[in-house]
Amino acid sequence: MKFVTRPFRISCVCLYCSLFFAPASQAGNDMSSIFQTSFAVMVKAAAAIEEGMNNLNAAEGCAADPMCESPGDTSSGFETTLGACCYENDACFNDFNEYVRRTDVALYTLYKNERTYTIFMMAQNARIAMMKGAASTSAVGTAIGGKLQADVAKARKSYIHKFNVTTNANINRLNEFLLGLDSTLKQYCGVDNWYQINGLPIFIHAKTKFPK
Amino acid sequence: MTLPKIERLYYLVFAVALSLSTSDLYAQQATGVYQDYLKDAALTDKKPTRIRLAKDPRVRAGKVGGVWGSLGNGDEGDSFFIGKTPDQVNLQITITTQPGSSLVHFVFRGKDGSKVETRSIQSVPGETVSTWISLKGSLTLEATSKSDAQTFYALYIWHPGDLFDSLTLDKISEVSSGKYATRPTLFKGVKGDRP
Repeated sequence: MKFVTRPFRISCVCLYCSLFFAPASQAGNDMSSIFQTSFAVMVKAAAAIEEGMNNLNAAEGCAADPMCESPGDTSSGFETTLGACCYENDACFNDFNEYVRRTDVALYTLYKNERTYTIFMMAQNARIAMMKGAASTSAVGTAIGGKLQADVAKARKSYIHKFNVTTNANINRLNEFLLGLDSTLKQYCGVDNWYQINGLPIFIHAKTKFPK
Repeated sequence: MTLPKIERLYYLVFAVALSLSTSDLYAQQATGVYQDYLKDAALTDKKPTRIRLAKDPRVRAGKVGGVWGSLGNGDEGDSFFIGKTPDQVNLQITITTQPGSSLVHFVFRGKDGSKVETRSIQSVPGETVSTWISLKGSLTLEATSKSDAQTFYALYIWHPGDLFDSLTLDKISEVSSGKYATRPTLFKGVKGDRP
């Protein structure tokens, strides 16, 4: 096969590439402009809406809790005072703000999940009520309805278990941040009872309100 | 056997071209999206083609599905079955068509017993149209175009789940418009005299 020279082989490879890939890539370009881009746009919009939904749930979770939302008060949530001692010390100020930010995120997560739990349970209860109504029409329906109800009850139990595991872990994290805030104020300002007066009530409230 | 340097280089280029080309094809795959432009879904089938909403790692909440469709050139329309739901569900519909393309008319139907509800959406050429619909029962979709010019469309259905089903479309509209884009503050430090 002496006539199969290197330039000839290279040309064959190039020709194969151009014949095989050119139509595919042209079609691909047409498609990608509509299909891939649109999918990316949809994914981005979905993420923004989901974020908005989380914010709404956290706000509504707080609004449903008298300790979080003061009636008649325009501001919501818990707060703590930053004293002059800490305000004038950069290290204290930074530590204080960091622990406040973390505590805020921990409470946001707890209230968001609480609202999610409430809505999930409402939906499950509505389904059970609907199943009971449908099942009561016949003997066969009663048997099938009973099995479905048992499945829903099992799913609920599993959901509550997972919810409690996550919630207790989040409450422990919240407590760590409250203790961090306490130690910051102790270290820089000599305040030795911040946690007892401000942190512990929040921790106890979370411990009694969120786990089911 | 060792290939000469220049030949190795050409084979390397060929291998790279091959891998890039195939990776592009794979990148086009989106979970739960029916590729109608490759295998046409007929308008008149008694059992319409099913769009199966599925979890997609890129969309955290709920399930997504859709169609990468083609109409015109003798294809008068596409018909799809989305699924059955005993509960009222809120779905986000996102539609994109090419600039200068023909108008595509989408009709969603929810058949709950003898009650049939429809929601119509029309494409805007070259733009992405996004809206929310609320339906229950057996859900179907029809896509039609009056023109015979070939038109590609991308349609996505997102069902975020129970959290969104519990909301009214007005509330969802508020969320979609960015009213709750900012995270609420639930713990803040205020400047005072005493810590």
